[in-house]
Amino acid sequence: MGVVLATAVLTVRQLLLGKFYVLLGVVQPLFFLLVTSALGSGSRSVGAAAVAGCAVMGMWSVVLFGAGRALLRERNNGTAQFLLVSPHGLLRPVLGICTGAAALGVLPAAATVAGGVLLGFELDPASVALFAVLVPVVIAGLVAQGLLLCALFVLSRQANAFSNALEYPVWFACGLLVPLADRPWWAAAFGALLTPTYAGQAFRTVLEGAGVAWSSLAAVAGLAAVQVLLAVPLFRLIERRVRQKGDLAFA
Amino acid sequence: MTSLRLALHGGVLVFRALFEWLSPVVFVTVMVLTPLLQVLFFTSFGPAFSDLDPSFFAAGNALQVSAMAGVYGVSQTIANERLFGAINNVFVSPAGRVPLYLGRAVPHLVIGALTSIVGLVIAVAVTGLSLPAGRWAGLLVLVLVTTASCAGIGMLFGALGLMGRDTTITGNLAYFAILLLSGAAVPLDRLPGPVAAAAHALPMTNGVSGLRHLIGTGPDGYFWSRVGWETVVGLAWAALTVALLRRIEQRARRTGSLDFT
Repeated sequence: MGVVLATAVLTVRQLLLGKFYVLLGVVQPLFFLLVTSALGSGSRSVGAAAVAGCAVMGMWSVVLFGAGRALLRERNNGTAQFLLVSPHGLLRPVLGICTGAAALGVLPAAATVAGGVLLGFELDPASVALFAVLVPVVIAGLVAQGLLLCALFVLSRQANAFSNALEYPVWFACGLLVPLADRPWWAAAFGALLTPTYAGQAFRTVLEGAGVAWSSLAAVAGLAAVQVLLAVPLFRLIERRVRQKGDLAFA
Repeated sequence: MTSLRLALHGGVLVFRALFEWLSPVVFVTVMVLTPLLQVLFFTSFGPAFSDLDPSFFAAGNALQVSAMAGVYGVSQTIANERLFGAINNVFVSPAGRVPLYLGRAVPHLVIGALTSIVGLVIAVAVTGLSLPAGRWAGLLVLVLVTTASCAGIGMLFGALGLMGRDTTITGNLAYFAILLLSGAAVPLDRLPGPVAAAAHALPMTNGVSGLRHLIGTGPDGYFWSRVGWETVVGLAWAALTVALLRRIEQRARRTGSLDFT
């Protein structure tokens, strides 16, 4: 656990140095919150949907680029080989990196709540407090999502190349800032496989004052377990390929 | 003729050499696919939080996405001159500075305009937006002028990138600001009065206004006045940028340094 914690802390410090992640985690969600505020009313249901959607949007973007690109970033920095030859193996430090990246999800969560209050959305303080309790739970789920994304982006050049275009489609498929009923069946099916769908539902439910959506949290936990089970053999495959080929092309 | 050749040929060469996304897949996903996905996203997002028709958001965003190439692309191209060590060659070159710098925007002008056109086709197909064939000529002029206008401010951020260290952030911030303030995603009458007034000094605002008028009424005098004002705004930002680039060059010569941070 020491390795995981140490790499997580280092990752948070590294990513915060790059303003890009502040842009993803704070500016982008606040922009969409501003748009929803300018467009609509400040009723509780609109406020809950807007804050929940924008918070998860920011969390997804941070995980997509911060965790999904972790190994590629390490390779560009010239440190990937050290992870691979480490006696801890590849998985533990990468888990730490993904944890650190997902932990930056606190930024959009805090920024959107603060922004919602400043913009006059109706947000019940008790609901906001419960929202704050849910944030670490969702972040834990997003760590697993980031782990799987990291492995997929490394093993498939095509997946990595298309990662730049995975914001809008995921926001749409997960029903973030768009009505769930508006999604065609194939988008809904895709969204059902992604953690942000259930994170958005959980946040929206609690901010509307309807309490904790235990089924959504259970879905987050269940998906996380599946994603970890999928990611572990993929990282073993990455390690094996690198050692067999003797290069860091990964794919 | 020499200036024209410098602008066009030089612009294409710089685009190929300095625009860092050499992978066609990455280029297409960031500069073309993502903007088009933005159009589709706003078609659902906008009506979910307002009483406006999906076509309002589709049309506005379809024009606004040209800013990805116009602002972000142009700023990266100019700022990367220093990153890749080419800026010193530019500063010692005897070439005219106006065609030299304006030429850097030409490839992005084409890409941004094409992206917008495709976005508008998508807007028509998805939302049933009505754009009679007789209005497409005026539309094409509007798209080109608006993209060029965005390139004007993109050049400014590129010039600022020659002095600072990070243009990615400023380019993205400018993109968001244009999306928020231009009327593409939020009607101008829903913004605070002073903000809406100031927004007319930004690229895209007059263009979006012209587009909405073109869709509703057609290419009349008001439409062409918006095209005219968009042209003025773009030229003003471009002139400011060329002046700033000249000051940067003078400072570089005086201090003997390319590090302005």
